[in-house]
Amino acid sequence: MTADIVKAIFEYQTGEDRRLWDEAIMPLQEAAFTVDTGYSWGTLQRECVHVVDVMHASLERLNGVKVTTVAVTMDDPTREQIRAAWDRVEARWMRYMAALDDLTVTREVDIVYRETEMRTPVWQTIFHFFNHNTLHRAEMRQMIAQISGAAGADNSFSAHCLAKAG
Amino acid sequence: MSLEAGRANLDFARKLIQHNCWEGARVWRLAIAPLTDAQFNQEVRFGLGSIQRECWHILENEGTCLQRIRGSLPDAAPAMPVSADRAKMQMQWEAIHAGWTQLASELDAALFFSDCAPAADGSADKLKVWQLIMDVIYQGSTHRSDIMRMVAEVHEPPAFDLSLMQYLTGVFRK
Repeated sequence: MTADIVKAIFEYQTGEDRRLWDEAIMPLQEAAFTVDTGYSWGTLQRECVHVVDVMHASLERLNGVKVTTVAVTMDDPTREQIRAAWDRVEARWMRYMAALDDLTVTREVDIVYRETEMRTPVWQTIFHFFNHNTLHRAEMRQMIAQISGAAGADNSFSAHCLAKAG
Repeated sequence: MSLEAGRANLDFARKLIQHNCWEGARVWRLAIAPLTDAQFNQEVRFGLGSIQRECWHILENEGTCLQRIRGSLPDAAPAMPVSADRAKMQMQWEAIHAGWTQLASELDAALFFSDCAPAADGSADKLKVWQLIMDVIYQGSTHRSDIMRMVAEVHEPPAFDLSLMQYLTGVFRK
């Protein structure tokens, strides 16, 4: 039952990620992607790379892998390259979520967070990924509003649930 | 409620509620309290348009959802105050957070998976309590992110990060 809830929130999160990409990021002029907004990671490019790297690192932690790799390896990636990396990481998360069960949600795993070794329940890393993406979607919409004037907003979780229920 | 639901581990939901209250209070204390009234009300060109409106929206959503979870029809949405009364808003917010903290301490599977009361407009939407809790969690994160950027724009960047993981692990960015 707990795993079902985690999967429902994962579906909401990935849906909002894709909506942001499709409706707000991809329609921008290519040059807008590298405009320095002076806040947080500065550019949409760096913000997107940071988010997908954290998605990647979170999943590596859950798989018991010491995180030594990044999701985006190019120095100056285009939107299409970052989106492709994002889609690959999301696909790996989907496979992880498909196998997730109640026992796994509360199982403890050894992780390294901010250079500190610790043992934490699996749900903490999963919800960190959800919260981190939510915070950065808001930052990306702020940047897009600054660059192009209109950025839209996340749908609420309750609206998502009502839409799913028909 | 099924036997399976009765065995559900709800630690994650309690911690998420506690984090929402803690982070909201921290943003108020460290980012909003130092602002002048003019900065609090200043128009910006993203999100809901001002820190005042962001705060009011979070407060209203948290208050309404708590009422619906407790099974009562929510009050009609209060009108936006013409001038910001931050002290009053903070007191309302603290009272609502006390209600949410109480809810976290009482949360069991029977309540978590139960139906909540319908919305103020009388629509018979069938949301579960857990769905409204997650609505509050993610709206809170989204709007706190907007507030942080607004504070940076009207004053100076707040000197802390928003992070669930930092709260859960106690390991904060130095």
